[in-house]
Amino acid sequence: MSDNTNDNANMGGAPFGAASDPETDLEALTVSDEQWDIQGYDHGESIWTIYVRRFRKHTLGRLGLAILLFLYFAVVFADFLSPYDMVWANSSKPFHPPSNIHWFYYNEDGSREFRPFSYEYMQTDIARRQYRVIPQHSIRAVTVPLQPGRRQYNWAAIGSDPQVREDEIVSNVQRQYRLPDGHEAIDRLRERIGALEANPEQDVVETFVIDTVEIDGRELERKLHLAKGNKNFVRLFEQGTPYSFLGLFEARTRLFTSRTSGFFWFGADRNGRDLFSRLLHGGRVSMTVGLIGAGLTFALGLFFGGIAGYAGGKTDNVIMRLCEVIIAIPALYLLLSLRAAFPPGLDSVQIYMLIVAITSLVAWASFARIIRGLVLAIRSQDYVMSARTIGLSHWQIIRKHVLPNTFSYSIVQVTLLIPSFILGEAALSLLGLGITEPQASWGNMLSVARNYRVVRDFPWILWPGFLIFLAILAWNFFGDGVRDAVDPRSKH
Amino acid sequence: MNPLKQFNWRFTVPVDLVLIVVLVSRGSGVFFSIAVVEALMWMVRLLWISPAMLMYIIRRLVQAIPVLLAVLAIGFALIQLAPGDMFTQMELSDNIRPEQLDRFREQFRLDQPWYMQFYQYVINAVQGEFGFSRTYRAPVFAVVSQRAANTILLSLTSLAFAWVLSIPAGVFAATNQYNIKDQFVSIFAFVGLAIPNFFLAFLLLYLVSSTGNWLPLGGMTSSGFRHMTATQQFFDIARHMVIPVVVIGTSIMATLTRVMRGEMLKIMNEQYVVTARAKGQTENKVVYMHALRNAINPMITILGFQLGNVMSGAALVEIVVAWPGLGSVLLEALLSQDLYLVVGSLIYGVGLLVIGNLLADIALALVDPRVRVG
Amino acid sequence: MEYVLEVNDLATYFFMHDYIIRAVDGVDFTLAKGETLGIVGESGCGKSITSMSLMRLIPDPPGKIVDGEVNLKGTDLVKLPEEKMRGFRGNEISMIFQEPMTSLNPVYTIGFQISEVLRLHRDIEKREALSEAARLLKMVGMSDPDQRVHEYPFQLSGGLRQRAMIAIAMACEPSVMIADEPTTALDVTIQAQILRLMGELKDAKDTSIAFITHDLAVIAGFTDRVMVMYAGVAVEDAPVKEVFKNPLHPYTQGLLGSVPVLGVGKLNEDGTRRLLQAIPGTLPDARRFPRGCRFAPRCPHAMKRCWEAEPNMVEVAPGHKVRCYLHHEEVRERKMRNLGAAGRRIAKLQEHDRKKRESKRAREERKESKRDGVS
Ligand SMILES: Nc1ncnc2c1ncn2[C@@H]1O[C@H](COP(=O)(O)OP(=O)(O)OP(=O)(O)O)[C@@H](O)[C@H]1O
Ligand code: SF4
Ligand SMILES: [Mg+2]
Repeated sequence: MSDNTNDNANMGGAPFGAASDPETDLEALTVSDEQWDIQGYDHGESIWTIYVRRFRKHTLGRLGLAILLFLYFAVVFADFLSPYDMVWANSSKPFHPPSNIHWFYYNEDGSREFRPFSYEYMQTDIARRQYRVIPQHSIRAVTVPLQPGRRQYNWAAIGSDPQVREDEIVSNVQRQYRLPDGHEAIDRLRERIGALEANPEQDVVETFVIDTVEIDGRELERKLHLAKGNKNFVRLFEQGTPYSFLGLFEARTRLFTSRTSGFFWFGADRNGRDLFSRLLHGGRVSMTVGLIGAGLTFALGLFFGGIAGYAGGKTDNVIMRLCEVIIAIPALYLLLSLRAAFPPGLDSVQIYMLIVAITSLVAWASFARIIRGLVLAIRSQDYVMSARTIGLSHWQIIRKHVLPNTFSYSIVQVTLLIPSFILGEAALSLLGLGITEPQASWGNMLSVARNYRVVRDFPWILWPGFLIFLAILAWNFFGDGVRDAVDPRSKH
Repeated sequence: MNPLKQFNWRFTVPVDLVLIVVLVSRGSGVFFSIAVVEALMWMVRLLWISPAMLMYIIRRLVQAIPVLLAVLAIGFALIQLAPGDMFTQMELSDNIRPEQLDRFREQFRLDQPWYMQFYQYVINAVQGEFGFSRTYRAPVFAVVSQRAANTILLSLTSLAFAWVLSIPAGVFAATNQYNIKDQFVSIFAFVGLAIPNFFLAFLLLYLVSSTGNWLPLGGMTSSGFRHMTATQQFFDIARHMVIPVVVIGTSIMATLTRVMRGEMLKIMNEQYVVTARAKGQTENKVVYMHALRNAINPMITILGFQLGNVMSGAALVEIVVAWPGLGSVLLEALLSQDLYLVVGSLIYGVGLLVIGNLLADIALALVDPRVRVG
Repeated sequence: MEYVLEVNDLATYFFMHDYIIRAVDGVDFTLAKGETLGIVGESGCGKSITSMSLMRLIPDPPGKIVDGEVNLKGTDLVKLPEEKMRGFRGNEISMIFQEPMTSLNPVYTIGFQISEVLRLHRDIEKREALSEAARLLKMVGMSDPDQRVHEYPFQLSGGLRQRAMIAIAMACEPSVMIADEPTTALDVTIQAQILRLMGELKDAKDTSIAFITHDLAVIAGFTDRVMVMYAGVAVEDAPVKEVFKNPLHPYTQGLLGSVPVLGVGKLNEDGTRRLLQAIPGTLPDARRFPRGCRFAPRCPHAMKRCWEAEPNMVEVAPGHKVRCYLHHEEVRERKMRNLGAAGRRIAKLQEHDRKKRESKRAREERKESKRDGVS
């Protein structure tokens, strides 16, 4: 619509030249902000302010940006936001189904209390991985790992005889901590379990300190959580397994978790690892691969495309033929073949770099072609010609004239490329050629889904696919918004 | 004036038959012979029908040569980079007759300097020799061409599926611009564009397997395939194709629908559409005969760009649903370090893409008089 | 006089989602058999929308013919159902556009596009239509028509394409042909050729033509009558000579550079532009026109009442209509009264002038009709 009114303003003015008497015709001469925008005029603001203002008007673009901010926030603070570590596992609970959260706890007297919990499950059929809730009279012990990355152990005594339950827990703890018979902690433990059983309350969680050990010059308490009942209480800002926050410092506080573990919000994977925690951590790979890959592609494309366009002649020819060859190969074939050139068995950081490198290598060619076209167009413009005649060096011309003019457009193009990097990583990891276990990425978390029986029986393992979809959708929305903001004329 | 003009090109049809019979009798496959003879004879016929078009095709063919050479070089480099030559590995592990090994060594001139090897490699490649697959114990070309046929089948069906649905969808959206139907199509296109092929495949597999396996969940044929009649075989493969075709088709469709909608919107504002209306033409014919006919050209151009994506998409989906195509053979080869097979399928894939692009170019020339005549 | 086309009070609005564009808002004119009516006015004043309304080709939504009637040989096109209207388009009333480059479909041959209109309105075979198309191409002056029917638009030059368009428009020998700036996009020599061709065809088939243009030279040389449009309304409608000699509406005067020079027809493009620049300001925004006369903001003679209510179209002389308060009877009289004795003298002089002019015109007309009789 704005286009039409805009046309009108133009058409009206054309045959009579500039209006000589603005007083009589102020109305027709007044042009709304939007029209000025479209015509590319600015009111003394920088071009970026205009871009931002236009972007704000793009609903889908804003939605995309919101989703992206949310996703990036989630993966950056994955340690704090996730209930467990990426590698934390309860090997007795493969494919544990997503936990039902019960928001209210009913006390003995029937009063209701806001105290979210989920029931503790145990496997009943190992072959078919079926679960049921453990009985209410169970006693459980959950170890507290001393350092980040250490395993957590977990025992549940479900026998109906209290003595049997006590013996089971004690023998497990004794074996785990290699306590000699008659160690003072064993007696204390028996005492505590006895007290727990005698406690009139149904569901109790307590902490039991075994002893103090010295590790790396630090005094650390070896602790257990003892729980009576079959519920895992989920609390905000709960102390969970230790983690190292962004590699900066060690912490135990998590946004929400259950001290007694057993809480799987999104279910567990094949190894009994918490899917939600792995989703957050895996997102770090998937969500950054796009950014870094795009950055690298941007640099490669700008460099080679710029050189080709600016230098012309033989250089141009060679670079463009190279691009043609790369474009002529179906991307996935090229991706796989390039992967074949590198040995298997690299560590996860190396593989991450490799993925970024390979995907950028595949993607830069088409981008470089675009840049070359732009540079060619700019180069023949008058101001570049005149810059040359006044004796600016090549580098100065490139920096002052060519780059600024290609910049906004190439940013748009690169934004539109990011989804393909996310897809590339996911595809490689899915096929087992990318990020490998135990490191998580959305791609490799999905690789179990290649067995349709697994998908049929445990559909929650498809979550990473949904997140990949969401991320790509968000980037597409955002990219559309950025493109329309930077170049409003190009309507798809 | 032109003596060739006097000659009706339709008289050349019997020549095709003769050539095909000759080729088949000399031991070539039937489909192969038909493809080669028809390609050749149509080029000859173009001399009469449209010399401009012939020039155009020849130009495209010549342009493809450097690309193919470069891809061969990349493949050769990959093989050279790997430690040792493949045959030493084969000698160690597999029970192949030594004479056979020697023959391959000879064939690839493995005892000569690398440039001679490359030269020989190119010569062999032109003759369809890409070396020997360790895992399949068969020449790479034989393994790969069999798989390639499956890939072609899958890709073409998906393309057809996508085209058949996206053209009406695009027209529908464009003629209902900005109302709820248009929004619906746009949302579908956005989702289709963003949903990863493999994820969609998993979703469909889940859908089918949790509702009673009413479609085959993988592979290309059922176990009793050999004992079926031809029609049964046809329907068996068709049933196996449903999931991969829907998956690949959806992503192509998303792009095509967007393009179609945009083009139709643009074209419906063109002056010649108004001209058609001013002639008294019915609105249906204005849309389908005048507007749609013009929107096809950019669709074919996009198709050319998309073929690579289609093949990539197909490769991944093949792997996910165990469709025995080029993509899955490439992955198998990769995992078993069967380098000759990797490179063979890479080159075959590129070859297919080049041919596909050529066909798209020809199709464009057929529908767009500006390319065909000018 | 027998009118082929009568347009009464035509109004076409565009209903955008938060405002209304009154693109055409009160246009009446008539077109006699074999007559050529020129429609002039600055860009955006609604000329094309008027012609599209006649064809009922307004994009709907957002556009809509909200009022008026278009009487083509006794049928009101505005009220016609769409299928019936289709029978008229290209058959009884046809149209030529400004851009010959884009008004032909690039993927069909010229022959196909001409035979399309023939097959729509005549009951003829494909093959027959094609030979008919060739005949039409020959009629519009194309060489080698049998070859040309197989060519595509991109193989033709702009002038030839416009000829092909004319062939399409004339194919069914319509009673009315609308030409929307048919020569603007062409260079001067081709322009002249196309105009000559249209003149010849008009005479041969007795077609009435509505000719839209910016080019006053073309108006002077080619048309019988002129309708001047301003901001969606017709402001003056008069025989072509009358307009150039005695323009009454201030806008028309401005358009002609205030000087009623007969020789204006000889002015080249530059000349016209210089004259046009004499009017300050621009067209008012079609979304909110002034309440009174639409020309008031730019009019040198604007009075109080001009801002209050819109003037009517009045016939000041036979066949000369104008929409301006200056020519409303009571205003004229009041002016005279106010001027007293001087006024009466001036009025006398003016009356004298008018009589002189009229007798001169009568003489010329006699001369002309004699010439026509001879030729
Ligand atoms: N599709 C449309 N939607 C909304 N408004 C329109 C549309 N088409 C035309 N208009 C408006 O109608 C008015 C008249 O336009 P029109 O095309 O008739 O002008 P014109 O006199 O033919 O100008 P020109 O000499 O430039 O061809 C313009 O103000 C324009 O803004
Ligand atoms: S009516 Fe008034 S404003 Fe309008 S043209 Fe006449 S004098 Fe000018
Ligand atoms: Mg116009």
